[in-house]
Amino acid sequence: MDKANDSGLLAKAELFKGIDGAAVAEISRMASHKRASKGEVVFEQGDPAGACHVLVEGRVKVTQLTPDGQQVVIRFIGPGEMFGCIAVFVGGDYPGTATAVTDSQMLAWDGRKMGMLMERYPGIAVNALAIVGKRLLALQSRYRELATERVERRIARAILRLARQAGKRVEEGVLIDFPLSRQDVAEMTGATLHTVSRILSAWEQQGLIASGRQRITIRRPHGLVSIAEDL
Amino acid sequence: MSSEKTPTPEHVVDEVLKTWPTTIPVFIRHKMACVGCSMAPFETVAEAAATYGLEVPGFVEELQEAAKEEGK
Repeated sequence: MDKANDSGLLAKAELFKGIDGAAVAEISRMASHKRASKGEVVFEQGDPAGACHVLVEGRVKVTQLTPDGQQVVIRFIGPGEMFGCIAVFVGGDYPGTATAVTDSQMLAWDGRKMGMLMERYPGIAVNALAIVGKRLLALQSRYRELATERVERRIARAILRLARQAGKRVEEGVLIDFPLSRQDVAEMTGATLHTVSRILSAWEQQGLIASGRQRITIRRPHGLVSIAEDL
Repeated sequence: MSSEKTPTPEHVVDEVLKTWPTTIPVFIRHKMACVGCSMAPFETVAEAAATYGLEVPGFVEELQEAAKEEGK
Protein backbone atom coordinates (compact mmCIF):
# COMPACT_ATOMS: atom_id res chain seq x y z
CA MET A 1 0.00 0.00 0.00
CA ASP A 2 1.26 3.43 -0.81
CA LYS A 3 1.58 5.65 2.25
CA ALA A 4 0.66 8.95 0.61
CA ASN A 5 -2.50 7.30 -0.65
CA ASP A 6 -3.25 6.00 2.86
CA SER A 7 -3.46 9.51 4.31
CA GLY A 8 -6.07 10.41 1.70
CA LEU A 9 -8.16 7.41 2.66
CA LEU A 10 -7.63 7.99 6.37
CA ALA A 11 -8.77 11.60 6.13
CA LYS A 12 -12.14 10.21 5.05
CA ALA A 13 -12.28 7.66 7.89
CA GLU A 14 -14.92 8.43 10.51
CA LEU A 15 -12.34 8.16 13.33
CA PHE A 16 -10.19 10.91 11.83
CA LYS A 17 -12.91 13.29 10.63
CA GLY A 18 -11.85 16.92 11.05
CA ILE A 19 -8.21 16.05 11.84
CA ASP A 20 -5.87 18.20 9.72
CA GLY A 21 -3.86 16.75 6.85
CA ALA A 22 -0.40 16.90 8.47
CA ALA A 23 -1.70 15.10 11.54
CA VAL A 24 -3.40 12.45 9.40
CA ALA A 25 -0.11 11.87 7.60
CA GLU A 26 1.61 11.36 10.97
CA ILE A 27 -1.21 9.01 12.11
CA SER A 28 -0.82 7.04 8.91
CA ARG A 29 2.95 6.70 9.42
CA MET A 30 2.36 5.24 12.88
CA ALA A 31 0.00 2.55 11.58
CA SER A 32 0.84 -1.01 10.74
CA HIS A 33 -0.55 -2.20 7.44
CA LYS A 34 -2.45 -5.44 7.14
CA ARG A 35 -4.07 -7.37 4.34
CA ALA A 36 -6.58 -10.16 4.65
CA SER A 37 -7.80 -12.30 1.77
CA LYS A 38 -11.44 -13.27 1.47
CA GLY A 39 -12.26 -15.66 4.33
CA GLU A 40 -9.15 -14.82 6.35
CA VAL A 41 -9.50 -14.03 10.06
CA VAL A 42 -8.10 -10.63 11.12
CA PHE A 43 -8.42 -11.27 14.85
CA GLU A 44 -10.16 -13.88 16.92
CA GLN A 45 -12.66 -13.65 19.77
CA GLY A 46 -10.83 -14.11 23.08
CA ASP A 47 -7.46 -12.93 21.76
CA PRO A 48 -5.91 -10.08 23.78
CA ALA A 49 -7.14 -6.87 22.14
CA GLY A 50 -3.90 -5.74 20.59
CA ALA A 51 -4.90 -3.13 18.04
CA CYS A 52 -7.54 -0.70 16.88
CA HIS A 53 -8.26 -1.16 13.14
CA VAL A 54 -9.57 1.06 10.38
CA LEU A 55 -10.71 -0.67 7.19
CA VAL A 56 -9.25 0.96 4.09
CA GLU A 57 -10.66 -1.34 1.45
CA GLY A 58 -12.92 -4.39 1.32
CA ARG A 59 -15.43 -5.64 3.88
CA VAL A 60 -15.09 -7.32 7.25
CA LYS A 61 -17.65 -9.27 9.25
CA VAL A 62 -17.55 -9.12 13.05
CA THR A 63 -19.14 -12.16 14.68
CA GLN A 64 -19.53 -13.59 18.15
CA LEU A 65 -19.67 -17.25 19.05
CA THR A 66 -21.74 -18.54 21.97
CA PRO A 67 -20.27 -21.22 24.29
CA ASP A 68 -22.42 -23.85 22.54
CA GLY A 69 -21.15 -22.87 19.12
CA GLN A 70 -23.94 -20.66 17.78
CA GLN A 71 -22.69 -17.68 15.79
CA VAL A 72 -24.21 -14.19 15.60
CA VAL A 73 -23.22 -11.38 13.24
CA ILE A 74 -22.56 -8.21 15.22
CA ARG A 75 -21.79 -5.94 12.29
CA PHE A 76 -20.43 -5.67 8.77
CA ILE A 77 -17.61 -3.13 8.53
CA GLY A 78 -17.19 -1.04 5.36
CA PRO A 79 -14.29 1.13 4.13
CA GLY A 80 -13.50 4.03 6.48
CA GLU A 81 -15.07 2.32 9.50
CA MET A 82 -13.19 1.29 12.65
CA PHE A 83 -13.31 -2.16 14.20
CA GLY A 84 -11.66 -3.99 17.07
CA CYS A 85 -11.31 -0.62 18.79
CA ILE A 86 -13.79 -0.79 21.62
CA ALA A 87 -11.89 -3.72 23.18
CA VAL A 88 -8.70 -1.68 22.93
CA PHE A 89 -10.36 1.33 24.62
CA VAL A 90 -11.83 -0.86 27.36
CA GLY A 91 -8.84 -3.18 27.73
CA GLY A 92 -9.04 -6.96 27.73
CA ASP A 93 -9.84 -9.43 24.98
CA TYR A 94 -11.55 -9.00 21.61
CA PRO A 95 -15.23 -9.78 22.20
CA GLY A 96 -15.68 -11.00 18.64
CA THR A 97 -13.94 -12.39 15.59
CA ALA A 98 -13.25 -10.24 12.51
CA THR A 99 -13.20 -12.05 9.18
CA ALA A 100 -12.61 -10.55 5.73
CA VAL A 101 -15.61 -11.23 3.47
CA THR A 102 -13.84 -9.74 0.47
CA ASP A 103 -10.11 -9.11 -0.01
CA SER A 104 -9.41 -6.32 2.46
CA GLN A 105 -6.75 -3.85 3.53
CA MET A 106 -6.60 -2.17 6.90
CA LEU A 107 -4.46 -0.04 9.15
CA ALA A 108 -3.94 -0.84 12.82
CA TRP A 109 -2.61 0.97 15.88
CA ASP A 110 -1.81 -0.72 19.19
CA GLY A 111 -3.44 0.59 22.37
CA ARG A 112 -0.41 2.62 23.42
CA LYS A 113 -0.15 4.42 20.07
CA MET A 114 -3.88 5.06 19.88
CA GLY A 115 -3.84 6.46 23.45
CA MET A 116 -0.99 8.75 22.52
CA LEU A 117 -2.76 9.92 19.34
CA MET A 118 -5.95 10.67 21.27
CA GLU A 119 -4.01 12.78 23.77
CA ARG A 120 -2.28 14.67 21.00
CA TYR A 121 -5.42 15.03 18.85
CA PRO A 122 -8.49 15.05 21.13
CA GLY A 123 -10.68 15.21 18.01
CA ILE A 124 -10.00 11.49 17.56
CA ALA A 125 -11.45 10.74 21.01
CA VAL A 126 -14.51 12.87 20.24
CA ASN A 127 -15.00 11.02 16.93
CA ALA A 128 -14.58 7.67 18.70
CA LEU A 129 -17.27 8.64 21.19
CA ALA A 130 -19.66 9.54 18.36
CA ILE A 131 -18.96 6.24 16.60
CA VAL A 132 -19.39 4.19 19.77
CA GLY A 133 -22.61 6.11 20.50
CA LYS A 134 -23.99 5.40 17.02
CA ARG A 135 -23.16 1.71 17.32
CA LEU A 136 -24.84 1.58 20.72
CA LEU A 137 -27.99 3.16 19.27
CA ALA A 138 -27.95 0.67 16.39
CA LEU A 139 -27.61 -2.25 18.79
CA GLN A 140 -30.42 -0.85 20.95
CA SER A 141 -32.66 -0.78 17.86
CA ARG A 142 -31.72 -4.34 17.02
CA TYR A 143 -32.33 -5.42 20.60
CA ARG A 144 -35.77 -3.82 20.56
CA GLU A 145 -36.56 -5.49 17.21
CA LEU A 146 -35.42 -8.85 18.55
CA ALA A 147 -37.56 -8.48 21.67
CA THR A 148 -40.71 -7.18 20.04
CA GLU A 149 -40.89 -7.61 16.28
CA ARG A 150 -41.99 -10.30 13.88
CA VAL A 151 -39.18 -12.01 12.06
CA GLU A 152 -40.24 -10.60 8.64
CA ARG A 153 -39.72 -7.05 9.91
CA ARG A 154 -36.36 -7.91 11.44
CA ILE A 155 -35.13 -9.42 8.20
CA ALA A 156 -36.43 -6.50 6.11
CA ARG A 157 -34.74 -4.01 8.45
CA ALA A 158 -31.46 -5.94 8.38
CA ILE A 159 -31.43 -5.92 4.58
CA LEU A 160 -32.30 -2.22 4.42
CA ARG A 161 -29.48 -1.40 6.87
CA LEU A 162 -27.01 -3.31 4.73
CA ALA A 163 -28.31 -1.52 1.64
CA ARG A 164 -27.82 1.85 3.31
CA GLN A 165 -24.26 0.88 4.24
CA ALA A 166 -23.20 -0.95 1.09
CA GLY A 167 -25.97 -0.42 -1.47
CA LYS A 168 -25.18 0.24 -5.11
CA ARG A 169 -27.74 1.42 -7.63
CA VAL A 170 -27.94 -1.06 -10.50
CA GLU A 171 -30.35 -1.56 -13.39
CA GLU A 172 -32.52 -4.07 -11.47
CA GLY A 173 -32.64 -2.14 -8.21
CA VAL A 174 -30.32 -1.71 -5.23
CA LEU A 175 -27.53 -4.28 -4.95
CA ILE A 176 -25.92 -5.08 -1.60
CA ASP A 177 -22.41 -5.10 -2.92
CA PHE A 178 -20.65 -7.86 -1.00
CA PRO A 179 -21.11 -11.61 -0.47
CA LEU A 180 -24.03 -12.13 1.88
CA SER A 181 -25.37 -15.62 2.59
CA ARG A 182 -28.76 -16.57 3.99
CA GLN A 183 -26.84 -17.87 6.99
CA ASP A 184 -25.41 -14.34 7.51
CA VAL A 185 -28.93 -12.90 7.45
CA ALA A 186 -30.03 -15.54 9.98
CA GLU A 187 -27.12 -14.68 12.25
CA MET A 188 -27.96 -10.97 12.04
CA THR A 189 -31.62 -11.36 12.90
CA GLY A 190 -31.76 -14.18 15.44
CA ALA A 191 -33.81 -16.26 13.01
CA THR A 192 -33.14 -19.79 11.87
CA LEU A 193 -31.69 -20.45 8.44
CA HIS A 194 -34.89 -22.27 7.56
CA THR A 195 -37.02 -19.21 8.38
CA VAL A 196 -34.71 -16.83 6.48
CA SER A 197 -34.78 -19.11 3.43
CA ARG A 198 -38.56 -19.37 3.53
CA ILE A 199 -39.03 -15.59 3.83
CA LEU A 200 -36.40 -14.62 1.23
CA SER A 201 -37.81 -17.17 -1.24
CA ALA A 202 -41.30 -15.74 -0.74
CA TRP A 203 -39.99 -12.20 -1.29
CA GLU A 204 -38.17 -13.36 -4.38
CA GLN A 205 -41.40 -14.81 -5.77
CA GLN A 206 -43.19 -11.55 -5.04
CA GLY A 207 -40.47 -9.70 -6.95
CA LEU A 208 -39.32 -7.72 -3.90
CA ILE A 209 -35.76 -9.00 -4.05
CA ALA A 210 -33.53 -11.09 -6.26
CA SER A 211 -30.79 -13.26 -4.89
CA GLY A 212 -28.11 -15.53 -6.20
CA ARG A 213 -24.41 -16.22 -5.84
CA GLN A 214 -24.41 -14.74 -2.33
CA ARG A 215 -25.67 -11.39 -3.56
CA ILE A 216 -29.02 -9.78 -2.71
CA THR A 217 -30.61 -7.09 -4.89
CA ILE A 218 -33.61 -5.14 -3.66
CA ARG A 219 -35.87 -4.91 -6.69
CA ARG A 220 -38.75 -3.02 -5.08
CA PRO A 221 -37.26 -0.86 -2.32
CA HIS A 222 -40.63 0.50 -1.29
CA GLY A 223 -42.03 -3.00 -0.85
CA LEU A 224 -39.28 -3.87 1.58
CA VAL A 225 -39.63 -0.55 3.42
CA SER A 226 -43.36 -1.28 3.78
CA ILE A 227 -42.56 -4.55 5.55
CA ALA A 228 -39.78 -3.02 7.67
CA GLU A 229 -41.90 -0.07 8.78
CA ASP A 230 -45.21 -1.89 8.83
CA LEU A 231 -46.68 0.72 6.45
CA MET B 1 -25.48 19.51 -2.89
CA SER B 2 -26.99 19.87 -6.31
CA SER B 3 -26.20 22.85 -8.47
CA GLU B 4 -29.48 22.42 -10.37
CA LYS B 5 -32.02 25.03 -9.54
CA THR B 6 -35.15 22.96 -9.43
CA PRO B 7 -36.18 19.34 -8.73
CA THR B 8 -36.62 17.08 -11.78
CA PRO B 9 -38.00 13.53 -12.19
CA GLU B 10 -34.40 12.26 -12.52
CA HIS B 11 -33.27 13.68 -9.19
CA VAL B 12 -32.60 11.18 -6.42
CA VAL B 13 -35.19 11.62 -3.66
CA ASP B 14 -32.55 12.03 -0.93
CA GLU B 15 -30.89 14.85 -2.88
CA VAL B 16 -34.21 16.66 -3.32
CA LEU B 17 -34.95 16.38 0.41
CA LYS B 18 -31.49 17.68 1.34
CA THR B 19 -31.26 20.44 -1.26
CA TRP B 20 -34.80 21.70 -0.86
CA PRO B 21 -36.08 20.83 2.63
CA THR B 22 -39.19 22.88 1.85
CA THR B 23 -40.31 19.94 -0.33
CA ILE B 24 -40.69 17.71 2.77
CA PRO B 25 -44.35 18.68 3.30
CA VAL B 26 -45.13 17.64 -0.31
CA PHE B 27 -43.93 14.08 0.40
CA ILE B 28 -45.82 14.00 3.67
CA ARG B 29 -49.00 15.37 2.06
CA HIS B 30 -48.96 12.42 -0.35
CA LYS B 31 -48.44 10.03 2.58
CA MET B 32 -45.05 9.02 1.17
CA ALA B 33 -42.50 7.44 3.51
CA CYS B 34 -39.52 9.00 1.70
CA VAL B 35 -38.52 11.44 4.44
CA GLY B 36 -35.88 9.67 6.53
CA CYS B 37 -36.18 6.47 4.47
CA SER B 38 -33.02 4.39 4.04
CA MET B 39 -33.89 3.85 0.37
CA ALA B 40 -34.18 7.57 -0.46
CA PRO B 41 -30.55 7.71 -1.69
CA PHE B 42 -31.35 5.06 -4.30
CA GLU B 43 -34.70 6.06 -5.80
CA THR B 44 -35.46 8.86 -8.22
CA VAL B 45 -38.42 11.21 -7.88
CA ALA B 46 -40.07 9.50 -10.86
CA GLU B 47 -39.65 6.04 -9.32
CA ALA B 48 -40.99 7.18 -5.96
CA ALA B 49 -44.02 8.81 -7.60
CA ALA B 50 -44.71 5.67 -9.63
CA THR B 51 -44.47 3.53 -6.47
CA TYR B 52 -47.22 5.59 -4.88
CA GLY B 53 -49.31 5.68 -8.04
CA LEU B 54 -48.85 9.42 -8.51
CA GLU B 55 -48.74 11.13 -11.87
CA VAL B 56 -45.08 12.16 -12.33
CA PRO B 57 -45.44 15.62 -14.03
CA GLY B 58 -47.96 16.83 -11.48
CA PHE B 59 -45.91 15.61 -8.56
CA VAL B 60 -42.71 17.20 -9.91
CA GLU B 61 -44.59 20.47 -10.36
CA GLU B 62 -45.60 20.38 -6.70
CA LEU B 63 -41.98 19.76 -5.71
CA GLN B 64 -40.82 22.64 -7.90
CA GLU B 65 -43.38 24.99 -6.35
CA ALA B 66 -42.25 23.98 -2.86
CA ALA B 67 -38.56 24.26 -3.79
CA LYS B 68 -39.09 27.94 -4.68
CA GLU B 69 -39.72 28.58 -0.98
CA GLU B 70 -36.17 27.46 -0.19
CA GLY B 71 -33.91 30.34 0.81
CA LYS B 72 -36.74 32.85 1.01
